[in-house]
Amino acid sequence: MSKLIETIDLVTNFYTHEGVVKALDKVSLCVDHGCTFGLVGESGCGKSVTVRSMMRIIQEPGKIDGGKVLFYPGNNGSETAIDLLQQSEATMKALRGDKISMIFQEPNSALNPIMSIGEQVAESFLFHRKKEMSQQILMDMDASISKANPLKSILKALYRLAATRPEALILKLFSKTPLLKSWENRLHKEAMRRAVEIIAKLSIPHAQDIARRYPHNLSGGMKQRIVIAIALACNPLLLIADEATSNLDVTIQAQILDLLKDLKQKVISSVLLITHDLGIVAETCDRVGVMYAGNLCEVADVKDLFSEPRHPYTRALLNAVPRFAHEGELESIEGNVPNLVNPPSGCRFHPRCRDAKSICKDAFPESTKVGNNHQVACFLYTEKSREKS
Amino acid sequence: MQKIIELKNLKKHYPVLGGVFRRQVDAVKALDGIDLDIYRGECLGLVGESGCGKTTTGKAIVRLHKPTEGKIVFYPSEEGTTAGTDIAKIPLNALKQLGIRSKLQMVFQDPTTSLNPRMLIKNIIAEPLKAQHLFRGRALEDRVMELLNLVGLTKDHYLRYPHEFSGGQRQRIAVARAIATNPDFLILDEPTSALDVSVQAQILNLLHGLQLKLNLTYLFVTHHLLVVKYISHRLAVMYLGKIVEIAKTGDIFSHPHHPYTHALLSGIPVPDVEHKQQRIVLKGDVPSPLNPPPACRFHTRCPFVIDRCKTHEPILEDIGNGHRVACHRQAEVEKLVHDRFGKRSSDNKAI
Repeated sequence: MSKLIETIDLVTNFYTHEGVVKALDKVSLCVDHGCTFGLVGESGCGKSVTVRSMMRIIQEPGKIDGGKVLFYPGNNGSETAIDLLQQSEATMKALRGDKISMIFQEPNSALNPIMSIGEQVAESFLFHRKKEMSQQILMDMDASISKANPLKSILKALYRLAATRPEALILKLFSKTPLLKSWENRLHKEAMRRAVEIIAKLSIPHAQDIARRYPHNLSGGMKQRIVIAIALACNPLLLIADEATSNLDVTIQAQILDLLKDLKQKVISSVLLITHDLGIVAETCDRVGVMYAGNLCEVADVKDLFSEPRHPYTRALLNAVPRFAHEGELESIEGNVPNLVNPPSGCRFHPRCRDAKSICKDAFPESTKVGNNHQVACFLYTEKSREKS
Repeated sequence: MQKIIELKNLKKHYPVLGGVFRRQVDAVKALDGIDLDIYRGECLGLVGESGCGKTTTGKAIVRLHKPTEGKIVFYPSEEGTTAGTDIAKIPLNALKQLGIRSKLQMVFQDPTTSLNPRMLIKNIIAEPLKAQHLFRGRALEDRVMELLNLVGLTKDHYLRYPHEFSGGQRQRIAVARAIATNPDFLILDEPTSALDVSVQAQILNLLHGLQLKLNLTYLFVTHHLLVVKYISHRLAVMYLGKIVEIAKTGDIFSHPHHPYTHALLSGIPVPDVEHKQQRIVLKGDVPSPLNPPPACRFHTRCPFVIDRCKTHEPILEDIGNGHRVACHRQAEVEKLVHDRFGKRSSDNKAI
């Protein structure tokens, strides 16, 4: 499989009053075309910071201090890689929501309470698909049988311009002036039509009616569907779902997971799923990355990770999850997640690790390959491989 | 077994005010007639989706709000010789004078908001003891220290503020505060849902240990079925202000009889790759408790609905072994689920 997006030694720090929070420390992961990648970890381990760094939407005290984010929009090979961290803000704006889009954690805060649902979905069409829509409107106008009049010819000229150069200055001027900005009416109408179409696609009944409503009219599950609709509007190559279901009830979560699985087969090529629920990972993902305190400690195929977890943290995490068949006391991981202003030296898991040795305190374990497509950052395995060689 | 709490037709309606005179125009029926017996020394799990009235039940028992209708009978003595007191209607100061307040305590959902950020840990834990006039001076200090040790904290934590602690430690402090007055009955309102997986296991083990050590009775309110499985003896499943099924924990997991319980069980993602299971996906959302559907409240989303469900309300009937279900088709549900959705997850004991 070819790569779609890849981060290399990504470092993100937050400069707060208490000190520098080292939220990400050399995270390298790779999502392939057509793959569902799950990123698991406890709260505060840097899952969300990773994807936000990839999209370059880290907020103020935070800064990306190093590394690369390579994006391969072409379907074949690495020759077309672009480093997202080197791009201008304008290119990033064009990419976000078009090629890469994101579902945010809480649908309540992700939706604008004073815009109708339809407008919010249509927004991404107006932003990314102006050219295409103008062309379609031109074709419709040519096909219509009503008589030509001067007003119409001016409109046509405007749409012709929009179809070739949507960022032209005169169009902006027109859009900002009262009365004259009504030239965009047809564009809005077309965007709305597409919005209703995509809402209906997500198995929401009465899409026409829903598009006219406001977020507070809808239930939690419905809102999450709308957020998904916005993310899917422009057929993205990569969909990032940041805890898309963690605030929903079990039965609604089941609906949303079903929907995502369905969409994965039909529409989107790759999904990067962030969650703290190992159950969701086991059911929906192909590959998993386990994060702890800003480090990626293990990356593997789902089957390998659940049958043979290598990293001590992964093993402990799997044991701590309640299961159907398990009886007796739950195993817990002693201690707490470390404060990232002063992360532990060496391997960041060593104060809580059962198999910790002296070397874990001093040196940072590099990620090593164990088995097929399975990478672990732990000294237990680097030493073994050294002994073998 | 001895009863400790008995709920009889408990109702809680939150009024909706409207019009110029702010008169009551409608009511949110958060609890709509609940019968529940809780026995001494057990842990009863109360499960359901958000908005089904789990927390309202818990809050009604400790009288954080006054129930609209019904009885809450509390049996104070361990021998069961004295008759119970109905605490649903008595005034709050009487509750304190009778010594019932100190016997019923509650642990809240989010430890970051349930602890006062401007109070020291020692004052937080000592507050209920002072309010009940149980300890004073040096004895109070010793008691707080003893409680800290009970929940796995040390005397280093004695003079600190809540913000200096992690989520798991804060929940330990909240537990220490709840058990300070030597209660008989503890309501745990989603005590682990704000915590991470690794810390959640710590708290669950702590609660289990405390129950054995102090001979406590728990009402464990949660939305996560697997969490409650570890600690509870019996489980009650709620839907829209009603109890739809109640049974021993093992029975709920091996032989659920209500379609909603089936859907809840199959909705939990299982952390196992080998495990492929047909999931029962319910259509639509939970209806609003302002206008709950008539007759069986689950009929709008039930995959096995028949005409009778829309006209007659099912009663919670005993089907043996203390297993009670409110469903017209309870006898055939298991077969129906099996036919339409395949093998159930809990049949698969291998995982």
